[in-house]
Amino acid sequence: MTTDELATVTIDKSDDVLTVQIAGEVDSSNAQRIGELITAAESGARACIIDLTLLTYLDSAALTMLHRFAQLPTPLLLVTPAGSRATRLIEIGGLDTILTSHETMESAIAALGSA
Amino acid sequence: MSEEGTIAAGCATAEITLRAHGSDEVAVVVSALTPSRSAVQLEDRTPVTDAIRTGMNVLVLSSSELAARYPGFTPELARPGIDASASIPLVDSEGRVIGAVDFGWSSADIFDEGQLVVFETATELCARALDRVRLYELEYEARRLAENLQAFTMVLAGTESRADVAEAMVNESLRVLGADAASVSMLADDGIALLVSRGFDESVDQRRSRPLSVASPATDALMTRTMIVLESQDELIAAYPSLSTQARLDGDQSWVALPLVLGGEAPAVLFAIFRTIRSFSSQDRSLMSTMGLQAALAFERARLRENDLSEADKARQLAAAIGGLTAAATKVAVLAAFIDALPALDAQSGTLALLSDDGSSVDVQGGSEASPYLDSEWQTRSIGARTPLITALRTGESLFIHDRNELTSGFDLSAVEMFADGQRSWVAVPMYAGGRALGALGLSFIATQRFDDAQRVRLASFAALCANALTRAARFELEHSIAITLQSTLLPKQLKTIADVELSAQYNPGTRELSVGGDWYDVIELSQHRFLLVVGDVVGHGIESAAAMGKLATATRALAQVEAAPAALLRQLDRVAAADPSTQFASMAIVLVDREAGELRYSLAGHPAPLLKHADGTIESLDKARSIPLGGLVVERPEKTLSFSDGVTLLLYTDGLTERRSEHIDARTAVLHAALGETVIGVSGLPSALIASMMTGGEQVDDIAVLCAKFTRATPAFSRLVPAHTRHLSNLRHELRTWLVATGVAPSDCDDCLLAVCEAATNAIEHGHDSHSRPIDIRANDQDGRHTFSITDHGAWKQPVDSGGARGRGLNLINLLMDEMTVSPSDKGTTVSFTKVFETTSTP
Repeated sequence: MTTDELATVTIDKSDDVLTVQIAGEVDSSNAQRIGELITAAESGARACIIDLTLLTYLDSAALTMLHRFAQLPTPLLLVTPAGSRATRLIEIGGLDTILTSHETMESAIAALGSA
Repeated sequence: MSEEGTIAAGCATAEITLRAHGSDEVAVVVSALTPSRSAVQLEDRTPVTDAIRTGMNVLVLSSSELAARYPGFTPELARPGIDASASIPLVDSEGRVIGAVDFGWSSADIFDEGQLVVFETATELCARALDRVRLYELEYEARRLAENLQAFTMVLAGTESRADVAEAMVNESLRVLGADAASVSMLADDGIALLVSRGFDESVDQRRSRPLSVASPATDALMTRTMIVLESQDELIAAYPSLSTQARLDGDQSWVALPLVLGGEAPAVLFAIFRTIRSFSSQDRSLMSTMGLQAALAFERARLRENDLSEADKARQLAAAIGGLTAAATKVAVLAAFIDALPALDAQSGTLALLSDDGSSVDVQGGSEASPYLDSEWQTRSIGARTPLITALRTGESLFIHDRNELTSGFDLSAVEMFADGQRSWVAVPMYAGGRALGALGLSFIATQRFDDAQRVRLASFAALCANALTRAARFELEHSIAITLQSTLLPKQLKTIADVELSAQYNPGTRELSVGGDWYDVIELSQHRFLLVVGDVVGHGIESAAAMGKLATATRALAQVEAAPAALLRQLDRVAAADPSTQFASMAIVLVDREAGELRYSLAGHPAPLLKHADGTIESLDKARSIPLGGLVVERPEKTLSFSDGVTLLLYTDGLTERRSEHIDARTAVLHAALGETVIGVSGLPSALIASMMTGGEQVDDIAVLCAKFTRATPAFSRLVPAHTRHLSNLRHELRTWLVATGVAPSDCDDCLLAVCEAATNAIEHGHDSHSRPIDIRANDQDGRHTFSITDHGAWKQPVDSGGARGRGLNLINLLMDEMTVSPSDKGTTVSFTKVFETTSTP
């Protein structure tokens, strides 16, 4: 678990699946660093799930970070509850066309299992 | 007529020859033991025709005798061996020779006197039988006629209109007369017009309506009022050479034209054709003329009935139009009522000419049933114009113009008033009121008019009614405009500006004539924090009410400076009303607002309760302090106090807003509550929006005054200098959120603005390449429901090139989430600005 002033990032890797939970705010001041944290943990994972449920603020810097992860070979799933700020911005930013979102962590893991 | 008769009286053959009924010319063989003796002419020399002509027995006893006495006559019936004959005349009971019986035998047989007696006796028996048959046939024919006529009479009895009668005639002529096609045409203005037609080709129907001058059986029958029967093409061509080609083309063989004659007039004619040669017996002819007479009677009865109906319709239309005139309060309404009355006056179009106030010109406008307004504008003409209308107006005499000739020779029609093509008669009637000429009415008619006394009286009375209505309308219009002027002078031109209060008001005069004057609103400032909101409604309408309202409004203003408490102020106004009947029974709502104390005090004098809309959208009715309208009665005026917080909106209104004839006042008040609760419009547009919403689906009859006030404590504009580093953005968001909520934006609505501002700030930080030390200038303010944001840096603007990159994405987001984003680069830096309109502060 890594904490800065704005966000708390919890990274877990089990069964070769990387799960990342980001709580708090992600903006241009911390998006880059969070991105680096996840990239460092990502190697060797067969899939990555980023949980944005506890995110209270995100901006284009956060979207850019997610966009970059989407271009890595590791399959990426997002967890964004319906009606959340993250869901809305991902849609407005057009990222919903290249990223797969699930409403809960459970359904995301289930989707990986069945894949 | 037909006979079968076989007489075997010791002879080999016998045949009966009868004279054709009603004719001296043709003898017909009707029955024979041997076939195929054809018709013979009476003048032919044969034993039979001799017997018939002479009434005596003709005996031919051998073939040589036959050849000697009747050279060239070879009886075709002669069978081998039959060469003697006796032709015995058939004489009926009245001694007329009706035919003959011819007996034949072989001359080898013995013939004697005894034989002849047998023949004569047989012939006599035959004659008696024929007599009986003939009588029976006559009877049968008579009964058939009677039955046909009876059926026809019954059919006619069921007819109501002339078209019905014509229809019945056509059907019956096909049925009874066996016609192949038939039509009934009516005498029209200048020819005959087809009413009903059956069996004819369409092209033939088109010829059926034609001028009377074209000779034809139908027109002749109408003109001469006698039945015309043509039994062959030759007869038709002889009588109507011009129809010969057509007759041959049509291939018809017989024609009947039967006029419907009654009282020396023939209003219609039945025309029937037969595609085979038909001869018409005297019975046929008498049947037809009886049918013609019966149909004529039915036709006349239907005409009278139609007349009655149309007279009744006209009376109704006229009554309705006069009702319209009585209610008319404008000259346009008078014109509309006049146009409505045109059918009742038999006219197709009408024109109204009105003398101007100075009498130098005339305003003209007209219309017809089909297009109520010929011109959208009133046309102005000189009083000197020589048109029928203006001439009638000038001379004071009605002008009756019977035909176009009279019209064109007597008048100048360059100024076209009412003289559309296709019309035949015109009339111009002057209108007077109190001895003063007001104008003239013009009517034009498609049918030529006789202008009999009844019609002249009707037109003159109608013109008098119009004159009355116009006088009334002129008075109404004058008073209406004075009342509106007065009202608008008395209402505050501009509402007092009071700090932290948004005020807006609207007054709408009613659409009903004279529904103006009486309602008012006012805002009376008492001190920096205290002011009165007043709405009132004086009884009645028009100038007097407007004046009364002025008195009360002035009294309220003056008294409020001494006594501002609503109940006490109402008691003072009670004394004013007691002394001035015109202000009595006025209703008022007075609300004293104390901004500092956050308190509202109100009292109502017979007035609808003001409504308070809280920041969360709930509506509270200020209905606790009610009492009767202003007046002479000394009553206690109740008063209620309640506290309020910022963000509430107060609505005061007069009952014109909620009144609607067909709906209960409680239901309408509920509609108003809903409208006020749902609306998201700022105060400035609220009064008109509420009026529009309440008047949807109905007419605004009464006048309406609406006064709205919203209490807001203005939030100072947001202004921050943020160091050019992204780590300060989080704090900026926090401060900006606090400010947005203070301006009334719901917390849940803040996020988009925070994002947009931070995106712009991020851009500023990232491209402010020359110095990271210079702060970003962030400003926001809230005006008239619009939030405006600007973010200014001090670097040179760089157009983002990578649309997938963070910077392009950031700008894109601002564009998507905010309105009117602009980027203004300058030498000193770049400003990104945008706005956002929040619809409402629905949840706290």
